[in-house]
Amino acid sequence: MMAAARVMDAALELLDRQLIDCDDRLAGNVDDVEIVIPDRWPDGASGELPVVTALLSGPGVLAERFGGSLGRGWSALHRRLHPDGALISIPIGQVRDIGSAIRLGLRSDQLASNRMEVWFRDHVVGKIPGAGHAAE
Amino acid sequence: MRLSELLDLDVVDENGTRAGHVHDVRLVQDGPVGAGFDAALRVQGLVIGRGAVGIRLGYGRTLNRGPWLIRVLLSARHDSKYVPWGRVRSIDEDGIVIAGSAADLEPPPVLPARGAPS
Repeated sequence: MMAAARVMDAALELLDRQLIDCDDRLAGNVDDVEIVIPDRWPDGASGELPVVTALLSGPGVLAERFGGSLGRGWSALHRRLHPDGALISIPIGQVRDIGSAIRLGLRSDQLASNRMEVWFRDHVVGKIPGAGHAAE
Repeated sequence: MRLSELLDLDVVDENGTRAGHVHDVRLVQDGPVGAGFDAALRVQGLVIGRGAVGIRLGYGRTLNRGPWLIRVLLSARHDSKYVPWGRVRSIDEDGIVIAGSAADLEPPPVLPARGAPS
């Protein structure tokens, strides 16, 4: 049976929301939303609506959203540290639920937003004597 | 295009009359639910206006609950309008042009509060 359409405001209900992966781990925040406008809009796309294709996350995305001199400076610094862009784009098909948090159908270690945490774990925390038995 | 590129853009009608700026982008999820959101979230329209604080906090857009004094104070200070996507004619970094007159715009349909019984 077809569920009733759900209506929501994107900035209010998506931006800055906590992302939670399929193992209930925190996976960053929604820093922006990617929207694709129909190619032939506005003349040849009568009735076609733009589609949300991805949730974007990561410090570089947040910097661009801030704008102004702070945002530009932050963004420039981020590009220098991450020449590849380090843009984290979560396809909307990986979203499982939108509520007070946004649940994903993938694991946080599959997201580039988790790279710094993984690097820190492997290169810093993992080198501390006894780190391998932290949970014991 | 990113959501942040739309937010705060000025909106003018085809006569050049300023209608406000973009407070939010209204989405409709009318595709399948439960198995992900493939091609399901679409842009239905824009919530625009001149007020900011109450709108940004969501007042006036949902069936609000909570302290009546806060509701009255914040809801009375906004003049938000709704632009159906079909009226949007162009978008660039200078702003958004809509078809028709800004005077024809209606307030945005009120959304049910999250968690409220439907």
